[in-house]
Amino acid sequence: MANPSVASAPGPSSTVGPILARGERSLFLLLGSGLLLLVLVAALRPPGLAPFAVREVLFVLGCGLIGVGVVRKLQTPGWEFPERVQKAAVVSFVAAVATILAVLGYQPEATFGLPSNWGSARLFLGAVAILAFGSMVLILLPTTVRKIVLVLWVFFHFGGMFTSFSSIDPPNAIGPYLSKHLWTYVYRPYLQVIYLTNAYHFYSPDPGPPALLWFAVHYDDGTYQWIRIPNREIPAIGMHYQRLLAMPEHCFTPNPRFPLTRAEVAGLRQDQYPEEQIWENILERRERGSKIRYPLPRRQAQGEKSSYIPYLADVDFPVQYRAPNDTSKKIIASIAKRVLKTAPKREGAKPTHVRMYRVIQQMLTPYEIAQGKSPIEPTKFLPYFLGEFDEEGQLVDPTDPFLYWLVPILVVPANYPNHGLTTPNGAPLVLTRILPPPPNKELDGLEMHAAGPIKEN
Amino acid sequence: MAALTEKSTGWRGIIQALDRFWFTPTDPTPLACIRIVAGLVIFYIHLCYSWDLLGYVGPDGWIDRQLSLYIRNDIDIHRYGLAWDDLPQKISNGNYFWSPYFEVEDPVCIWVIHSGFLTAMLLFALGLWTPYTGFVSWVGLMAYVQKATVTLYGVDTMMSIVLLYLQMGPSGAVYSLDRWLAVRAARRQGLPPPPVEPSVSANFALRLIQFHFAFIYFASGTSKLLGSTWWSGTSLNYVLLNAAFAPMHWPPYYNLLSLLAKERWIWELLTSAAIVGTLLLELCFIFLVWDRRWTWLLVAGATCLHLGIGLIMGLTTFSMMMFAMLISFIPPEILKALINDIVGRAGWSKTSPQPA
Repeated sequence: MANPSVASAPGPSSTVGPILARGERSLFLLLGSGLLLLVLVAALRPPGLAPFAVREVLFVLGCGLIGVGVVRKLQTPGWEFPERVQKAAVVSFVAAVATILAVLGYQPEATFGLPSNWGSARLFLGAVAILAFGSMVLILLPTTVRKIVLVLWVFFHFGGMFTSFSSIDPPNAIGPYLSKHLWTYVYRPYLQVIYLTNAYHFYSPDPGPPALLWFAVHYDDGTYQWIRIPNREIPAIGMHYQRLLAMPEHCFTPNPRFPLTRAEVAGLRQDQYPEEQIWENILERRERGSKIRYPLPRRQAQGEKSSYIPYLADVDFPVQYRAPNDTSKKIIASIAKRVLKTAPKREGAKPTHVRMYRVIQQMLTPYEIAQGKSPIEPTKFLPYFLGEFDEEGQLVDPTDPFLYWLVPILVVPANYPNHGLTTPNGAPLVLTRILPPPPNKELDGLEMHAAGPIKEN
Repeated sequence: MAALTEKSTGWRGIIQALDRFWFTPTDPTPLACIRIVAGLVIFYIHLCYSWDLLGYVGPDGWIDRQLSLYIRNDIDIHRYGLAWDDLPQKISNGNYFWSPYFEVEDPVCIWVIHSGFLTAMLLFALGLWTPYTGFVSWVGLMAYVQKATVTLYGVDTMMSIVLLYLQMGPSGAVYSLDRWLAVRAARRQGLPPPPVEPSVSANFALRLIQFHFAFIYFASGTSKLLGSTWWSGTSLNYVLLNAAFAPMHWPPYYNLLSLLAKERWIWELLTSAAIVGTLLLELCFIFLVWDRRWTWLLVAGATCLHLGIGLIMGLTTFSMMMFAMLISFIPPEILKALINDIVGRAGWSKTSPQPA
């Protein structure tokens, strides 16, 4: 128990004051130990030096300690110039540490800094460094100037939102020149780091029909099973359903250019434009596909066991053929690989490959709903074949006749394929815009195609 | 004082208006309410990642590790031509994406990180160690949106907006465990509860949320004007009859639509009214919401719009985030009166911390 009179008596310590006040001691302890941990992370850079996840844990701890120190300092009362200088000094410490660690890590041959494969940590620290330098300046500025700088930042920030919104191409045109270049050179890094890249074109210019992903997973016993994403019939929490519903949209960006014709590629070398991607060849393969026999689903097999997937005469090619761009092809392959990997297991059978379809679900019209038509009427689905993939996510046949083509589910004359309409090369042809008069029948090209062609003996 | 209060015109007036708009100290109550509503929704949304965590962010997920690194580091970035005769050119590689899930492959580590983020998000919603848990929550949000890019939709953007701006103000100053701890500590020392002062940062954060919300409506409304279905009066058909979103499989919903569609004029009247209402609301919001005479009407309209989106399209979490942002338009005194009323009815008034 201290004697109050002694404790309050003036002594050497109270006249000179402690070297560091209690709050400052803890601040230096936090910053110092945080820095020490980060130095340790940087020093343990050579592979094999640190056991599993040690560096990662040290990195998080180091950043955390420094962060706590900075927030505590910024929360201390006082906003006069000397206090602002102290706060700015602490923030500049963060900026310096973040810069050193992030920049040093960019050198592949560096022996100090974050490992070169820690891309996320380097980007994070780079952003922290910029933020800390900016905050340091902001803290030191007089109030009026600080307000002006903040308002300018607000203009810059919402300028980014406007750029993001206006750089989207309007229908049948290209977006504004200034927005495009502001986006590319100024705002892309800033907005991507904080994920504010949305253009806010909700349900616009026009809301469209939903897209779904369907997979026919084939097993080594010759059977196949459908997996549908998303699937309302499988009970799942709403959030999971909504996320899966977003996947068909994000995985498919159409190739901006329709395949070139033979005349258009004249003069190009084959490595510049492969022969199999020339439009005439794609079309020829598609027509050939309509001459291949596929098994009919049981519900449609009335006497005959197989039939042909028809060639569509009256649907524009850009509607029938929708190829994804190169990045989408990679995403599609990755999704197919995951579906195959997580496909339901069956006793004695192993999944071997998967046929993937992007299905546009056309909506009922108000007139059809008034008539009581079902929203899951099969002919309302427009399936596009995205390819057959193996366990490694490799496209099995890049020259598949139906690759990226609409595989129709439609009503055909009852005597199809002997209804008298064929292409000049003998492939059965149907018209889709006019419903064939009775007697007619439904032909599920998707189910036929998913089962795979009948192997000729 | 008179010089400050009298309305100026010209540049001086604009500067004073900007100063008032962005830097007038404000009660942090709306910010705290946004933290609670948005924080709980954000926690729930991230909890739902647990359903298929490794599918979303694992090395063999929907986007496997090799592809996600390709998208981040190697994908070609092109620009349009700069001069009249300039062709599009490749200018760089990769995107500015960052997430621990790019680097971590071990499933146990992924689950540990996920649990850490969930804990931070829950604590942030409850208002414990708010500056720290808020920042970790934002880092957590980024960890998912920057990695699981094929499963994102509007709600992720709304979460990014709200969490970013909540970092800039004292969202834990009231209705939080931080406040409860501060009051308890003061009581133990025999001191009165520390006052909750109006702050400039609370106003700045609230204004950012308000303006961003208004901008979203403006962007959404003007881009709809380019669409033919919004002019032909058929756009709402694509919303109401969309079987992937709307509950078409639910007989009462289907039967109601069927009944309405039996008389074309009724259907057209209802959908046209909804279309005109949506367009008017989205286009006018950014211009009129700052005038108190219009604020309530516009906030009520936006509430109805998002109620409809939540109920019909199943986008409930998205609508909840929009509701959280709408709180920023409610004056603090009304919000406090409403909360005090609820607290009083529930009989919690003795333990509830009251802002000054």
